[in-house]
Amino acid sequence: MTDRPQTQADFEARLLGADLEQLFAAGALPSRIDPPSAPSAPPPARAWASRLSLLAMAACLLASVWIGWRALRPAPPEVAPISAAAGPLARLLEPGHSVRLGDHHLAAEGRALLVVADGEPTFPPDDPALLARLAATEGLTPEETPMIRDLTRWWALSPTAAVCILSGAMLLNGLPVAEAQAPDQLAQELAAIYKLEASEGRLRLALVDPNKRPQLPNLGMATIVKWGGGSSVRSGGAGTLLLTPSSIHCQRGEEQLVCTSTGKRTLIVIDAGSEAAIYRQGPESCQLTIVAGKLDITLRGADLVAIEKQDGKAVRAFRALLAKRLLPIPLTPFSEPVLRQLALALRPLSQAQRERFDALLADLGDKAYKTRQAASNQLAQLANADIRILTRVTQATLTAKEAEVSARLRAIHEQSPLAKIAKIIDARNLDRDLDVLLEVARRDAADRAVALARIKALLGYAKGQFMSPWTSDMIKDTEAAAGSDQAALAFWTKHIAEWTSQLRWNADKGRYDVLPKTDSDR
Amino acid sequence: MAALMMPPTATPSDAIEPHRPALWGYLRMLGCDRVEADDLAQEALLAALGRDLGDWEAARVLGYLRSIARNKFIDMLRRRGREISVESLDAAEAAWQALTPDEAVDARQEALRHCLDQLTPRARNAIELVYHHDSSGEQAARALGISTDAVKGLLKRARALLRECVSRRIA
Repeated sequence: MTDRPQTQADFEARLLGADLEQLFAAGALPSRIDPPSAPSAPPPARAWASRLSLLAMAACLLASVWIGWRALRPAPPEVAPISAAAGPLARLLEPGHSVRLGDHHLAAEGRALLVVADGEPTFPPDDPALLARLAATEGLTPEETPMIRDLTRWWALSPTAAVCILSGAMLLNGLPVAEAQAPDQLAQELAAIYKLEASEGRLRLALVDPNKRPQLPNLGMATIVKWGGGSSVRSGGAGTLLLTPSSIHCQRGEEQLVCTSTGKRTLIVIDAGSEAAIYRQGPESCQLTIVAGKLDITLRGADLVAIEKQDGKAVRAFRALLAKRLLPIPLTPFSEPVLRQLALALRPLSQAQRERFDALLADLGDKAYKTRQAASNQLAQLANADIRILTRVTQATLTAKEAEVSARLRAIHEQSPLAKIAKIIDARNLDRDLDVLLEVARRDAADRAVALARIKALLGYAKGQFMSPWTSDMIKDTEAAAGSDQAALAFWTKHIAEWTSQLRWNADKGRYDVLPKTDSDR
Repeated sequence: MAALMMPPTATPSDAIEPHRPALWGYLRMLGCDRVEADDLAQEALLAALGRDLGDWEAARVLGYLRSIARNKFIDMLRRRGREISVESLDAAEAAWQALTPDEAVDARQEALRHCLDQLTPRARNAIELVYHHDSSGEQAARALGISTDAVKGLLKRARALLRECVSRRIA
């Protein structure tokens, strides 16, 4: 919007232009000319003169550049193999096998474990511009930005199709797991185990080779693949994560990567760095075009979509998809911890499975978790998913500074506009989720902190869902009452029980109704 | 995962989703670029999603959505430390009413589609270069073999013709 006064004629011209754009975009106006790259011929003499002049200028310029380059760089630089897609590493660890990752020992006991790692440093500490951008995204001060690197650690999800995602930052950027060994050593070790290519500390899978049409094998279980990740922050590309019991086909051309998943369960995650425009072909086949990343994704039968962060156009694009009901799925922003929940939601756990998973987490050690998990307790937005809380965040390993960053991130995330999205999410499992949350909250200190944060988020969601002053009051009261975890827990236990007793599922409206209070209630 | 399936019945979004193109055009008219129009249209639709608009007439729904979109547009400008004058908003409203007297966006676009055939081939090409291929004035000028000023004049005349033609057809 320009600052100068606008006349009605200006606005009319814009509206006409917008209509024309939409008509062209919809194909309602057939194109009659070639794109500007092939302009209609100018007068011959002028065109030739223009071309000759341009050629002469280009030749001079090239010669200058070549001479300068020769002088400065006598040897040509080695071309990076795949700049924007150096990762991921992804390999199935068969049951009974294990791998050592720095201080950690990752074992696939009784079930297969898919290990995925993206291959590039996520947040290079020597890139001030990137750190500044990241700090702006996360709402951190410049002094805190180095801490961000520590927020990217490895994480695990899905007990039956256990998947461990390793961050490229962890592998290559001096984070705790990689500290025990030189990055290249670790890369070589992983490569030997997973039979992957490794060079100069980078691991990569043929999956992202631009010249191939790679295909992940059907592992007979959920498969998670991650593209991009940290590299996308730097390159503007897209981090993508697909979860499917079937196969994934990808093709990377000069300008785009097209992925088609034919599985029934597909989980796609787009990085915040993605610049996405849209769109669609139909409910069974949705197409997302990510402008900056030049990434096209074709989904078939996707039933979950998650967005790694809530900013960025990718999120808005997916929101648009959701609003168009082109994706018959709930949608949530946020990152790996949410993916963990999603994966778990896909495969509801038995008690035995939960115990095994907890044991696995314990094996992984306290350091295996990110502080950011504490900030990602927005799973209340997935109130219709079968949520199980299996996260174990051990704050003891955090430094005071990390804890502060974590708290700030949590505060930022809790202020997010997720309620808007939550409004369109079915809330039928709300009461069950509350039960689960309370159960977890009773366990130990670490889980209780997580559960309390989630309960709070859930109530925030409920407030948006029901627009109930009673709920708002309750949240305010709780803020005052929660002087300690124990006090807060007691408060929640009492009030949530009261609250859920007042909810009745309204099948016609597809949501809960809050029953009016009776005289006896008062 | 039955809970993840969308119900087959009509949803609140059915009442508002058809207005997305009109809303997008309205936001573009106010001055949003394409991405901003995408975003604000989506924001407006989400804001309206919680309301039961099932009994409303389409024109009333669009009017409601436009008011949301306008407020969101103003909010966006304020966040950027910018303002839009009341006079400009009035002019925008007048333009909308002039070209869309009964909020019938489909009719307007249909009329536009026909009117485009009345342009000269060169004007038609200029329109297509700018509004379809996103060409700048200079690029369009190069493609058409004319000066940038000539392109501006050509576009201005073409839009005037289209505007008159559209008004005539939807009157």
